[in-house]
Amino acid sequence: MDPAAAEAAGTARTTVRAGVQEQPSGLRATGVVKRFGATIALDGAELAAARGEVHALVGENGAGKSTLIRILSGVLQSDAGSVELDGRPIPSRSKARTALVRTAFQELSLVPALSVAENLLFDDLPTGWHRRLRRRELWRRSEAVMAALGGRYLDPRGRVEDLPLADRQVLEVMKCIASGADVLVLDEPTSSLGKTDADWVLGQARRCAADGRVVLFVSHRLQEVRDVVDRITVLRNGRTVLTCAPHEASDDRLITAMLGRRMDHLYPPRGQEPTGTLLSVKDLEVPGKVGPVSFEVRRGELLGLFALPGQGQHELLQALAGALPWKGELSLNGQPYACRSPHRAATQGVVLVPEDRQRDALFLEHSTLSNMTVGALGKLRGPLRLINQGVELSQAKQQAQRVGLDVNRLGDPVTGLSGGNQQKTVLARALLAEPSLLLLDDCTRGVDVGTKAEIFDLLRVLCQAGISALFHSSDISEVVHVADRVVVIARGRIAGTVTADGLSEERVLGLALGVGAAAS
Amino acid sequence: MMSGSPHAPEGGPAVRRFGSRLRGGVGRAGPTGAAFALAALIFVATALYNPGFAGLRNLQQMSIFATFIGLAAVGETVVILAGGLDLSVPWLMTFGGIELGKLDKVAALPGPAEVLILLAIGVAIGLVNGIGVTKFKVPPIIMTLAVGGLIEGYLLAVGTLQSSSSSVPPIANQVAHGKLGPFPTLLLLWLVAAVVTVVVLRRTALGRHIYAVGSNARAARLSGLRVERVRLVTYAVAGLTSTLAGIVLSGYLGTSYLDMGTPYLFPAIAAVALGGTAIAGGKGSYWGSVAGALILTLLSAALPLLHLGTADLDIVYGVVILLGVGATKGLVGRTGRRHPVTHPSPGADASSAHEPMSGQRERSQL
Repeated sequence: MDPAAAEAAGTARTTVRAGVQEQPSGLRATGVVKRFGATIALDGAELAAARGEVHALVGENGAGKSTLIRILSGVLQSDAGSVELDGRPIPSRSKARTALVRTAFQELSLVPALSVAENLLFDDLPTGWHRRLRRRELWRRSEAVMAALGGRYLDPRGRVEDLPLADRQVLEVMKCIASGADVLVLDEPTSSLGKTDADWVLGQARRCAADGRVVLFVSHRLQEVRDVVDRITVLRNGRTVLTCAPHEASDDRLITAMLGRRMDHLYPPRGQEPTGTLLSVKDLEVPGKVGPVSFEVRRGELLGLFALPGQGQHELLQALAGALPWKGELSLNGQPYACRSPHRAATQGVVLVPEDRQRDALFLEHSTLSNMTVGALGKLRGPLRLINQGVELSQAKQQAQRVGLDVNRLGDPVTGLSGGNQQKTVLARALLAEPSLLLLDDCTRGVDVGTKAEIFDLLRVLCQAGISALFHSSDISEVVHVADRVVVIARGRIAGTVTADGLSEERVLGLALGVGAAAS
Repeated sequence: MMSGSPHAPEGGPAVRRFGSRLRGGVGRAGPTGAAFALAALIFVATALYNPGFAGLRNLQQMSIFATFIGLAAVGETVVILAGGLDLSVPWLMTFGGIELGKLDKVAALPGPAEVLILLAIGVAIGLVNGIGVTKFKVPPIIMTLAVGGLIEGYLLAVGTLQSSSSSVPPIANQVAHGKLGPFPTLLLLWLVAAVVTVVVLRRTALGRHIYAVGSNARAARLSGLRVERVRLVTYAVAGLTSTLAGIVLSGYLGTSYLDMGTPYLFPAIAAVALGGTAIAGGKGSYWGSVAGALILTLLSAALPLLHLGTADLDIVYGVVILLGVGATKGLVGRTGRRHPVTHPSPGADASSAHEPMSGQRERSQL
């Protein structure tokens, strides 16, 4: 392990200086401390990444990765510690720092109402007479930028808010790379990407490093990290606990370092054979997006749903949740299932956990508690139809424990939670609605491996208790290892269904790509 | 009620009382406290300069004026919290005053019955606002302004036929001028309305849904809330309280006329903003609006004592409100997002609070 990285928190500045001389070229953060009120987000974090290196930063949600990234990119100011590039301190003022350090944020920093081109060249828009935007120049230059990056094209005139999440993420990465900054920080750049796009991003990361830039790569996908990076830094509880080369670190060692304990399994064992039909879908169509598709979800079944990006999987889930208009014949528990609105769906026991939690699930101004209970307030009423706050709190605590969320954080604003805990909050809300069918749209997106394991365990327990789940994930190995059965969607239709005995990533991917034979 | 508050170990803060929880669990005094402090400051400063300011008669007067703003602000607060805006308030007030007199003349029903009928009409007009905004996706500013115009047109057209209809029925007079001990009846009416509003907002499913819809309408819909219905109700509430404010105003004035409600458009919204309620919705409280109404009333009572001309008065009034909104906001701290977020926060701009829903994004059929 790097000796400097092993330095404890809050050491004197002299040691910080001493550390610098060892490695003059590249990015070096030393003894970085950041507090939010009583919470210590970073407690002397260390990071050293050389030029020409792709350096991975991994850790659980809440380990301090995001805080460190925000400090590096000048969004936040650190309370102590220094950040240096090539041995010279980088000014901590936001503007000066962003010129040197550029970040592709996980939550994206795009302006939804502007075009792709305007977002791409946001810092350097071509302007002419009286600072007016020269559109033709704008289109031309953005096309050139995209051509130079190679392999991925987005219509420069398209409005960002109309793009699917995967395209928005690609654009965020493009914008970061095109900035020409010396240090590129890619914060979970592949979290909502399929294989092709993810490979494109990884290739770009390698290419930027080859140009002599520093690339900091944050990801929860260990396989990816292993494939692409030169060195790995693991953060836990705001401290650097391990720095090593990928070949020195087994998955086991990395996960143990991230969690501070050994994890016995990522995927829980499969449960008993599901019985009877819960949801039967016949000739379901969402105009222009899905269909017609027919399948059924059995009682207590964890049915996987896999598709490459943009094949209509989100629309399918949204239609089943009543959020999109649909045609066809649906029945739930043998009764016609009329979900013409999410409210109607929820009253019949079908609840959606949306893909984009910040946009579609969270009330960012409100507390974790309010976020959890907002959908189930009707059941928490006492005399005079007033909400019984005691019952509300105890119910929320119960669900918080079920999903593994610290009950002492219920009063915190939901913005203060890590991505994994936000997702647990959304799951707890879904459970409070006492669902018979959970529609999970990529609920492990941007969630660390420890939390993922907890979520998978939870899903298994729920299914054992007779709840069914339709589980969509953009990560194929999750779908294959977690689900009892997998429905593969391609171009809005079912490309095949694979049962547990025939489940493999090759088989599922083959079907998704349209090369495998339609199966069982 | 401190619903079994768990004690917090060093990790996180305890679950706080409900109000602060809804506002995002802000540690410090919060905007409502700041607004009340500002009101107290204006009051004390003026009373020191002119001791008569703190006299009983003046206090009673001011509390009555504050009530008109405060009642109109009930509806405005609720609508704004849900992410909307109601500009039809002044016309609804005028409508309430004029039509009550007219109804009394024509029908001669018992006073309370007449008031109830009028309030029901107020609710109906509020529902028209709400239906326009929710079903027909008209932006709230346009819809409520249009309805305001329609009301004015109606009053002009019908009013000219019965030009002597400016009388006020006794019930409005009694309520507006009555006293219970040293307290004006109107103040008590306001107090009751305030308590009901606060309890509904904090302790009922509807109230909490209002906050949710204002915070993120998309998320609210996907978590099974009936977003349109919630919005509809908020406009109906605004119709109710604006009409009520108009009725008691006409009772106090002893007459009703076409421009009666006009001076209340600005204060009704300013009170909400001064109280620290986010104009884009989702965050705030009615107590804040109460403090806002007090600030506005104190200002308009205190400024003439400084012997300023009307023009100066308006300028000072405007500046203080701007500073006041800034101050109450500043005290809350930056509770918003600390990092860039890809989506526009629900109603990031107040004017188009509903537009992201009505447009391409929201394939709604709720």
